[in-house]
Amino acid sequence: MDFRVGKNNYLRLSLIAFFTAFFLFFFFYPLAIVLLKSISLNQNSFSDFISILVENKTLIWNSFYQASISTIFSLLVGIPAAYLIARKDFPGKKIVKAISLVPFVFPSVLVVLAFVILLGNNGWVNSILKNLFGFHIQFLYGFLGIILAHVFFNFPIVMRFVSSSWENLDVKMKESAKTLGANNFDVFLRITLPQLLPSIIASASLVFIFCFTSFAIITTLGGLQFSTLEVEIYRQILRNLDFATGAFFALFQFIVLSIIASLYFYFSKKHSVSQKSNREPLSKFNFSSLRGIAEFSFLIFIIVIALLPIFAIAVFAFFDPSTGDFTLRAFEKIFSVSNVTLFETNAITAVLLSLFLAFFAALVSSFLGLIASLKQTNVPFVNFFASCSIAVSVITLAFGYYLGFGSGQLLIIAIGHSILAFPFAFRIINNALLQVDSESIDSAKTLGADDVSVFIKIQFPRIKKALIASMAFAFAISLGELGLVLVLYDGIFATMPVYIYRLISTYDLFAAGAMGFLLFAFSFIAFYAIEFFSNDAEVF
Amino acid sequence: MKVLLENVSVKFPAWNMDNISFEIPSGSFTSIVGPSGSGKTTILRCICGLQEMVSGKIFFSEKDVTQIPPEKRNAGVVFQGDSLFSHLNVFENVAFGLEMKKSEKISQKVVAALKTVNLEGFEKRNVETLSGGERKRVAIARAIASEPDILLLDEPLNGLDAALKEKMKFFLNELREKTSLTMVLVTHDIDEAFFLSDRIIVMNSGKIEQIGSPIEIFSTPKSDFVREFVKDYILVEGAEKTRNGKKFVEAKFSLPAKGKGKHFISLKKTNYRLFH
Repeated sequence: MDFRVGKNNYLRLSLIAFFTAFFLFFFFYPLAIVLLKSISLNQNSFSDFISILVENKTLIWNSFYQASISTIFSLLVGIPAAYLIARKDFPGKKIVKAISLVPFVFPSVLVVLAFVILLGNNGWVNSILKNLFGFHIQFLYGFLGIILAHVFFNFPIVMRFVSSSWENLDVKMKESAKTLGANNFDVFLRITLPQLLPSIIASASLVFIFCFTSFAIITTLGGLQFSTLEVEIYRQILRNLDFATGAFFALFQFIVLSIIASLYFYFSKKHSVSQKSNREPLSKFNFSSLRGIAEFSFLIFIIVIALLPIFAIAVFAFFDPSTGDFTLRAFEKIFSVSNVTLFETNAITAVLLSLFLAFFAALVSSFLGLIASLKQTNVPFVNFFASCSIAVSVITLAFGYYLGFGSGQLLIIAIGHSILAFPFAFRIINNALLQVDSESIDSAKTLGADDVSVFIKIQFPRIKKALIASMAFAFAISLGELGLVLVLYDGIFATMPVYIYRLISTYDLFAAGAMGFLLFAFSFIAFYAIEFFSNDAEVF
Repeated sequence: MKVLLENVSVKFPAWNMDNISFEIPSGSFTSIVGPSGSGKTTILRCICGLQEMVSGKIFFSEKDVTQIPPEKRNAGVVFQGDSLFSHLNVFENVAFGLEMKKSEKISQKVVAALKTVNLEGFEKRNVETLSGGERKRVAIARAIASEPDILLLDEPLNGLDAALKEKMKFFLNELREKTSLTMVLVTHDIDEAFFLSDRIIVMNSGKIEQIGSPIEIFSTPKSDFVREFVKDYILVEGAEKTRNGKKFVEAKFSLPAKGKGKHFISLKKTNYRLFH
């Protein structure tokens, strides 16, 4: 329902054309290649497809099983954490809330690194256990390691979704229920929980998708015998060169993810939080009650598990376990000229490449997000583009690029990162633009502002911060992205995460710690920018 | 400036507005009255060019403006939510349209517009610090600063408290006298329409029920809907009398009696209007 004239001006049409062409060429085309490839498996009937699935039932079972268990435990940690944020008043709450960005901006390879440092067979926890009690626990390299890392990584998503709707529950409903004779438990079960359900299901489906398509955590912490569909797709492409089987797995995974993604979209719409004025006042911890002490202990638990990995990486970067001193030797090691041939690339190149990709993705995805969000452009099927990308895993997209454009092309990797960051950029910018009331825009138009002036004079000043936040978000996503580069870098471009991933695989944790610290430092700058420039409601 | 709507049709997912035609005479104060959802705001949006129409034409004076986008129509609009640009101060808000139209002597015109709405000296104020009535008046100043051909007001008194509403009614009357602009007021409140306008368009579910002067609407409602709309009003013919050198209008009217004993009738001095 826009105005009639000037609607089809050339600027608008060329922006739409650019946006649509970008997605068709760099998203749907590679995806189509993968899906077509799966047909070349020489399986002609539906029963043949079923028989391949039955042959790989362990693999499929593993994928569902680990994702389900990870999701359940993320809910078990995330919902109480949401309660603390929504109902309790305590100093430093802003910092605890900021944890919710971790799954998006903290590179998964750093989670792996931190878990190896902390919980590895020679990690901190096991060293303590060995010294004190003479035994150690095999946390990692198996199912337990995967679940622990996934829960650490994903409970903040549950926390974010659930706390935002919990904060906005209308206290009047609770009060009415009480005057009608409901006790606290009844209120929770009959009033609070049903209202939280959409956000619980939305966050659970998102966590499920993230765990289902998790890559670095499965390959490094899962050990050799544990594999999932996402990992298997990667192995089929790069190790077995069996594209048809890889594509078949990708197709099957795409179907699964589409179903879960529709659940996510259905419930996240219902979850959309309306700011109500009748919020319940927050309470402080009551240390004289058992409940208060339990709540407080849980808060400390969350803070510790969120901060410990960061602390571990920071210490490890500067601590030489062979001598026991704090040194810069790890940095010297990775940056020294003699170490250039450690891998296919040297550390400086890896840092520069990562930064290039991150800046590229920040600019391009935010530009795409802006085109997609502006009322003036009114791009058709925008939501379809944004929702599709959640159902396509990184390795599947990388596979499509591999088949469609070949490997070793830096620009394709950069474009891939922009596509991966697009849904986030779109969401942040779109939410910010929705805050600009349509009457302001209408007023500006009746006062003589054309589409471009409306953007420059009315919209842009109000979404400046969101644009920066969106760029920071895309920057962080690109910076931490591993799978796409791993499939496509072809031994030429190693980014920081690839570099760390390789170092972890060769158990050179000392050097991995140094590079990990650098990656963390860059991610933290992005994280801080997002926190500083975005409103709470804007990100997810 | 005269405005003419000719067979204007608008389509919404849930309802339609078909073949609306009417004229707004130059210099008139026309009110479009009706319950919410009757299409009155839609008509306003058609006039200023914000509403996409399925068919029909709109003329400003004799010129067909149907294909002219809102930014080129020169219709001043005051929206319901006042829609001040919160990132700009009062001066910048009022100057916005002038800048867009690359007008000359912008600051003089802003000062003049603010003077018209009795807000001299408010130039540097942050719009967030203004009261409800002040915000409305800044919005009006913004709409009139670039000398529009017509001023469209969408529920301008909505959201103001009772006392302020009364004040704003007098202000709008005064504004009309000062500027002699053609004005269109959209309102659900027949009170405002009677008090302010010389032509009333009564709308109901996308159709025009009646167009006429307030007296016509009162005295000869054409449909049950209009009758229902005006049934709480009393229109009485008065005779001019002179007492102590002052002119008065005297009228008689009767109300159904209730109870026994002495009767009193109370009237509010501000809530009447004299028609000629």
